Amino acid sequence: MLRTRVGYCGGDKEKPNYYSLGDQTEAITIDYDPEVLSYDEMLNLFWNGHRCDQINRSRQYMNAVFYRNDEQRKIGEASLVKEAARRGISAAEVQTKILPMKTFTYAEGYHQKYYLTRFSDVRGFLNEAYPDAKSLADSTVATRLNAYLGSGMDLDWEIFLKELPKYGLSKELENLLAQAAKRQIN
Amino acid sequence: MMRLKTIATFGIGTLLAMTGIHALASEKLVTEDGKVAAKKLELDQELADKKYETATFGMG
Repeated sequence: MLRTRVGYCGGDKEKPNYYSLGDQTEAITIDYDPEVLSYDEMLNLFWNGHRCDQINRSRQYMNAVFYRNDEQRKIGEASLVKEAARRGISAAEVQTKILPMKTFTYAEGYHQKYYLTRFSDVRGFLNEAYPDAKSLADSTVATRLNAYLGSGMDLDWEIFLKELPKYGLSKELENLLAQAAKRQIN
Repeated sequence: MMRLKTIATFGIGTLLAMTGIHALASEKLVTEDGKVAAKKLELDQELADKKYETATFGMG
């Protein structure tokens, strides 16, 4: 995975924001290397991450695959049928939607890399490097730090240690994070 | 006098909170343009021009 961002899509309301979403849905976009992962594999991760038979709470908070082209639509629809069979339910019982993405609007800066709000030194450094929401959201460094430091996922800290010098952090911050990573490994 | 002070404090507090909320709400949001804007840090520079595809999900 190269980058993740949060924002609003799937609806027709122009210039949505957190306080005025209209028919838009809160969504995440994930940039990935197609030589490493396929769209089908991305979908498998998505289906494994939620209950597809759960009724959607609202248009704002909805489980959905937002496709960007006809190829993604076809793969998405086929994956829904496959997931229904895997769960022993009919495709009609699947509540997760397959919908056109339309336009993706980046969410406000304070929503991007949200886990890092707990790490003020790191967040402060990134905000200085990338003061606007788009560049912060587009940063692989910010994406990786957000995942490693905040997500609680079981990640490979050896890779983190190897990449850390390329993050461009201050020596002090780099040393602190290297120590934390080594503690995770041991 | 105490009551006046409370009312004044509450009024100013509300005004400040509303100003803050308005400032957050009025942030100019941009739409996706297919370009990677982050290029300042070394790893970002390295990966900014790498070929990628994008998946988009609503996560409930």
